[in-house]
Amino acid sequence: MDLTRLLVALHPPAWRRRYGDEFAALLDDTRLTPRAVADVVANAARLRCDAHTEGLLIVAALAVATVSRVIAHREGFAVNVLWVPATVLGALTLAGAVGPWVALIVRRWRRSLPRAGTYGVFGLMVVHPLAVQGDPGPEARTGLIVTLVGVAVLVALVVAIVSKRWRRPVLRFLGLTAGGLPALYLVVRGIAEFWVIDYDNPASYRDDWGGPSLLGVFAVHTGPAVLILAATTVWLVRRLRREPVARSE
Amino acid sequence: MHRMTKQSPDAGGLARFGEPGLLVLLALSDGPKHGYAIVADITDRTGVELGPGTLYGSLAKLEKLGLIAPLPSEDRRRPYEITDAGRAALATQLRLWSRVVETGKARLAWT
Repeated sequence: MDLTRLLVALHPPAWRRRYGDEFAALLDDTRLTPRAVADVVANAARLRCDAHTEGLLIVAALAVATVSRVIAHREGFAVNVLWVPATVLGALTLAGAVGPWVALIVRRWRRSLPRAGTYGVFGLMVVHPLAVQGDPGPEARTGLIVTLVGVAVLVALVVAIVSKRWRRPVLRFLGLTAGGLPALYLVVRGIAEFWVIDYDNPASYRDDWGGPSLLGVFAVHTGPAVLILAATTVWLVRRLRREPVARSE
Repeated sequence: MHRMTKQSPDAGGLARFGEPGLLVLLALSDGPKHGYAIVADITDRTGVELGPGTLYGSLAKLEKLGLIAPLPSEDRRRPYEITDAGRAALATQLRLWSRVVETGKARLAWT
């Protein structure tokens, strides 16, 4: 492999696809002194780092959060570092355990990076304590998830208050999540009702909400799901009708 | 008390005078050029020798910022041209630094 090809090969694949040919042409025209070679190598190294920045940041966040949790767990600062930090060390371990994830989420949000990755980071933040400390039991697990969601909502609200630019998308996201999750639950619950009820035994549903009649029980448990599905269908139909106009503009 | 401030991104993302990006814009301001011609123009006009890696780092950044645009390739050598946004960014930087140069010349009593 000649030096030009070697120098081009040092760059990330996406960069090579876009600039590889013309860069090779420039290198062919340039006297490749040690200084020029060093310049190319330095630029390739920077591009390689840039291409893996997100991965490196996630590994760094994972390392800091894990070390914080392990130290807190071993030293007995708290059974769970997310409980209200009563001491300076507790507060520090809380910052070390949650801070890197929150910083990563805020960074991705500010840079408009793909939302799927941001949700992934949030998922890691939620799952990480369970993976490091083991299952703390149903009550603590629920408390942990509630605390983490609370911290995330708090951070999102602070971002919405501080940044005018992010106010609308953040509030929209919070509104959709706050409305979407209960709606999803109601739909799943409404569908599940058909299998929950023992139709041959009125005693199994008589005392349920909407009882004692079977119709009343279904109206209360499945009615909201029907309304939500109908509203979603109307919204989708209107949106689909509107889209072709938007595209032609 | 004066605060140190970061340069606003309004200047087209160009950080400071002497940055390779500004030199590339300057080289392209009188017409499209490919990589080797840009390096030669900068060396002739300013005495600064841009390395190949630095040049393509700048070209990629300027293209991403919309300050330059690639033209159809002549064999393997692809020429680039400055865009309207690139001209505006270059003018902003030159206006800023012409004041610095004038002040420096006056204070050093250059003729």
